[in-house]
Amino acid sequence: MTETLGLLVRLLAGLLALQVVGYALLVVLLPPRAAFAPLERLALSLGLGCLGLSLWMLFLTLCKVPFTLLTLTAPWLLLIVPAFWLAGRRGWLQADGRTTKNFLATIATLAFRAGWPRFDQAFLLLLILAFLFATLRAVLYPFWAWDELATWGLKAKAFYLSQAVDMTRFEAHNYYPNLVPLVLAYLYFWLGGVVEPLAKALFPLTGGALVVLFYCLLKRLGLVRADALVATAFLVLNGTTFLTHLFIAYADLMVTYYHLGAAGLLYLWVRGEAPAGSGAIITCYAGGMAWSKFEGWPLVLILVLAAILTLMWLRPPRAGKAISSVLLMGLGGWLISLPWRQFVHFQGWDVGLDHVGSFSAEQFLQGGWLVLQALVWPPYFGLLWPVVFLSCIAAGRSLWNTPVLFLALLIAGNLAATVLAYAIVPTSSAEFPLYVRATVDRLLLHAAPASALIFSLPLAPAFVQAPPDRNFI
Amino acid sequence: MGPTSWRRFSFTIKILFLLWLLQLAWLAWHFAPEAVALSQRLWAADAARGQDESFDRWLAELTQLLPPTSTYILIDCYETGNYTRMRYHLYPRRQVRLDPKTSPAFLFTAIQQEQAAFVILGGCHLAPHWRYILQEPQGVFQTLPTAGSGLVLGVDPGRMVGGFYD
Repeated sequence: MTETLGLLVRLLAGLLALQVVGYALLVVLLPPRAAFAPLERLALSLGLGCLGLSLWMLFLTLCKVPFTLLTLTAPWLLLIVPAFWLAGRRGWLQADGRTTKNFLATIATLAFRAGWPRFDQAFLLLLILAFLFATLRAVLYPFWAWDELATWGLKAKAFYLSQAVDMTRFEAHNYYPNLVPLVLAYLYFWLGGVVEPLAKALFPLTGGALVVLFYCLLKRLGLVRADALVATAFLVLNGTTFLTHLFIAYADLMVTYYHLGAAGLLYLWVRGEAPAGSGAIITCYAGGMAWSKFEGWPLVLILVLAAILTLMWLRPPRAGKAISSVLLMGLGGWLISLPWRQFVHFQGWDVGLDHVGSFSAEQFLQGGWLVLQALVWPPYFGLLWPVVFLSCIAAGRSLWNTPVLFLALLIAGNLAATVLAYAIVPTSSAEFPLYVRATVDRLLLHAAPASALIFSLPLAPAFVQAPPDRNFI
Repeated sequence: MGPTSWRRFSFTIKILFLLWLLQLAWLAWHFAPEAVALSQRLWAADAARGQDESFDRWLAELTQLLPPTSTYILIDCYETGNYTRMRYHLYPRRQVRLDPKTSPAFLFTAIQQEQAAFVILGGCHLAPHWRYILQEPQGVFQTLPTAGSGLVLGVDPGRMVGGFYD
């Protein structure tokens, strides 16, 4: 019992340290006038923390410094102390502290003290139950799913035991990016061993940050609290895919989280409503996508392309400068993933040979049909994708002559890229349908929350420039 | 319900909402067995240890038997998925997986090249020639006692003379 309590304390300290490092990075990246809400800052911090720490671990390996709790945490104090002092001067620290306290109190009391209507409370309760289930499911079971054992979990264990990014004793798609296994290994150092069930708490936490971010983005897009809660519950509790990824140690949830952050802020940016400093966050989140999964970089390219095409079509004032900025964000994301690309190059590993072959028209057609089936097959995503498409139809002309075009291009681009990926995957014709069925839910998950931002159209037809309630609770 | 009234939603949204509620009921039904198992696990004494299957217990036994720096050859089908579980749990021991259809010559070559100290026969259907390999007269393999589903063989590379195994 005492041992379990000790481990839980160590886990909480590790997760808090991730959040603190991310918060420090956020404070340094954002200008003082950046009008992010406290809840948004908290949700964005986790992604920056995971990104910063995992890149630091790669840097330590390149410098041949072994991972220890000291080498992983102590140098960050040089950033954390001045960043927190700066946050205090800006008044963010106090506001964020109050918001965290209110947020936890709202969850703990089911918003009774805050006087929420029953309607809102019902959806908050649904979300709480979903996350309670996912958290317990994550921390009470060891790794069991295929990629947990074969790829991500194995690498995390190897990095922890070898105290470096060392894959000399196995071959498990070694060229894959390593944000997730490195963060898991980082938590092992806090836990003092390979305590895989507890380290999996990272995933419900990431899902929580994703959900809070989604809710905040909907509020920014003009939804009242009740509608934002309904739409958030609709995202989480539709089919089994999202819920399952809250408790398995796959890298897809991390990519989905970074994708939502980058796409959501880019959408606000195209609408001219993004808070100052959004460009830096979009850049880091694009880097996070590329550093989490092999599919991350194509997702970044689709985002960049969707934003550029939207700007070229709508021709807002100073469109040329805006396009240059989008290109710079994409380039920044690529630069963040560059150290890993160089590392792979120096190791002499083949990249992507197991996923990229020659184009097959037959696979393209069959893959397209299977993707369409997956979009409407309820066990995968329930009603999520059909409602996304209905929302696109309901958008009518605004799909062409407003920044909503960005979301439409993002949805179309991701679906097209998924089908194209299946057209070039090197599998036999007998294995192909099995390959698609084993991967399609994950690929569709990556863009699902960002695509679901289009719910803001039917739910908030009269666009509001900025919601008056900045605390978002 | 004030400003969040149900009445303000359009007819289409109300229909979709009702369909979603039906889907929620299905989702609850889908995860109900897991939720029950979870609650049982929550109260069980050895909840998070993850060694509730015989295969897991066998793996725990193997971690005691095989030195951490050793290399082992696992002969098992890819489809069973056991190689991923074994590779994960036995790490940092190095795994070389061979298919049960592999020829004996290839096995002996792999043992030499990879400096393997153990051969583990997994649960997959083995080709008939494997039983002859196990009975080879030079005494290269020694069966090690384990309580698991597979067979663990220690390898004595000094007894391998080569050239005749096919």
